[in-house]
Amino acid sequence: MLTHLHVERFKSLVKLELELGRVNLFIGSNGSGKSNLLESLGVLGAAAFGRVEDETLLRRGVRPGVPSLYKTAFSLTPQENTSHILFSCEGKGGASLSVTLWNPLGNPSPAWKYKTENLRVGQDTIATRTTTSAGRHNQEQGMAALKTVELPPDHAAVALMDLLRSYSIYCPNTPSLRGLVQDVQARDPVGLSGGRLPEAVDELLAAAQKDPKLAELVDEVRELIDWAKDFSAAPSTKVPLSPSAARSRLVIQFVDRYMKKGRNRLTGYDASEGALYILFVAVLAMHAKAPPCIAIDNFDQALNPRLAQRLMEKLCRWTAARNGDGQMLLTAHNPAILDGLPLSDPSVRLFAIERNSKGHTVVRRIDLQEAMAKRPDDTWTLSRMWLNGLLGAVPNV
Amino acid sequence: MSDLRIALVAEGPTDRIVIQAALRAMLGARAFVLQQLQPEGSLAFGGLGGGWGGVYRWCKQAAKRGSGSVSRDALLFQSFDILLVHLDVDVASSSYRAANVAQDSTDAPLPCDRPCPPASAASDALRSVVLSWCGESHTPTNVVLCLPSRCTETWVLNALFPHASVRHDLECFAGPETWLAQQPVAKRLRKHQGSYLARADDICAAWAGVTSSLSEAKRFQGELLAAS
Repeated sequence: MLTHLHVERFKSLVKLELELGRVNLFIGSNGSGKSNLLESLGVLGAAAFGRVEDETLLRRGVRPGVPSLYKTAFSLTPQENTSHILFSCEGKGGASLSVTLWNPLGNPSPAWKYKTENLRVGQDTIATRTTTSAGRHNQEQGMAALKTVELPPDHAAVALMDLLRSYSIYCPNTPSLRGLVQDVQARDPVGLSGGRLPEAVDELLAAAQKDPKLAELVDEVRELIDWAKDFSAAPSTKVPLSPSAARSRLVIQFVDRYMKKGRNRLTGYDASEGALYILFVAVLAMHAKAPPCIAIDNFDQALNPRLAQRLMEKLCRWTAARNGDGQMLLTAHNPAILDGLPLSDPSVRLFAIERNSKGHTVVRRIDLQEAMAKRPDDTWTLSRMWLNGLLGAVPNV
Repeated sequence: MSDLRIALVAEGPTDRIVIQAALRAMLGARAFVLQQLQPEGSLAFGGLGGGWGGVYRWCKQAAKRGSGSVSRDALLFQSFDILLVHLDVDVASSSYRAANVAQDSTDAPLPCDRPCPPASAASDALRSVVLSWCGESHTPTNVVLCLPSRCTETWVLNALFPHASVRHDLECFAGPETWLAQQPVAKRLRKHQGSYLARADDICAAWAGVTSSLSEAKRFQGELLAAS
């Protein structure tokens, strides 16, 4: 699990440091820099992979950009205004990776160059590249990525690098979840846009049959889809589906609670999109092959406020069940989400993202323990506070 | 030094633009986050509360949250360092009934206008009224009152037209908004967010001149800097 993130001079993030928990929810106005924050970790993931270029960025759900877009464009002090972008993080086992990247604003090369690199575990340096040694090595190839192949698989540095490499930003969309379009970012268990959902649900249900604890969690998914008696994945040839619909091998199948037996089966093509978003989140939280650290941008989309609140609550439980192997960075706009956050759990964290008077993105952890103890009555919920501006993180409109 | 976090309760969005420009000038290199607050409400049930009636409703809600006083509103001050309450001094000539506000027994009476000059007379009287809405007897250390005389547009007029021959005691001039809207097209400033945003940098650059010639702007600056 990542515990600390430090970014400098990346897009609107002039200088950002934050302590991460297991579930991290970022709220803020549109354009406040939430996606930039998620992307900063994606760039570090590409750097841990060993090459930072459009292909490795896209693979992680990061919007590729030319250096003039990536490097912060604010007027900075001479001390702040160096030519490179800095990304650094620490993992739970004491491992840390720090990378500075550069690419000239004019005539940039396809791959970013490593200026410095430092992979450490505690006081032990695993790989290092300094500004003086940079010229002797291939500057477009990450040194830390190469060094880790020499380490045993249970080494803390390997765990950190694997976690960073597998990090991706998921942003589901309805056509991909329904299987109407191909997910260009296909992954196992699900693609970044939601492709391969039927197969992933099938695998999750199969795993739940062998694991009673997982079965209990899957039952909680069923509770969230209240109009359906059950869901499963079925061969597309065995379910009622329009001949015009794109057919994959498997489709999601829901059994409607109210329709007549024999005519009560709906596919993911016809069913409520909200149910598909819930299954998507459940797969990422519970599937054995889901990456240990992921981001979901706008994870509350298409959900009724009450449902979004419950999904948030359940997601915190589902990730906790993965024994420290399920870290999530989430962005959301639905205030009801906040009422499903168990903030008394220190591993669940809420952050407000805002732009300050200079336009820089600033991140603030919202820790309400003291304020909630002093609140006048139970009528003040987090969602109400957010809508009223008491948490910040709303636009001045 | 960390960014200063300022919660703003203001009559309208153009007031916020002017205040933000003034804050940029006052705080210089120190970055701040400004968040405009609104009273809770739905249009279906009578509006979201703009104008001074909205400032009144917000102060009453916050005082209730703070067990009677805004400065004890823990839910507000867990996120903000300073609460900035803005009200045009011309509100001193209004009545509660005019803003469809149901006055309660703790609210100081309106109208409370005073002869101008001096501009400070009506401003002082309105200060007591705003503090009564906030459940405060004195201005708390974490609250700053921003009461332009006669209104925010007085500051805009002075910033953008420092040599205009309107009247010597500009803070007693009742029609700055109309004056700004009646200028030749190239200089005209209508009360729209876009027009104000386009001139925000000019207002910021001219702020020192505004505080040197307008007493209530100087008072606002002094109190803001003391609180920050």
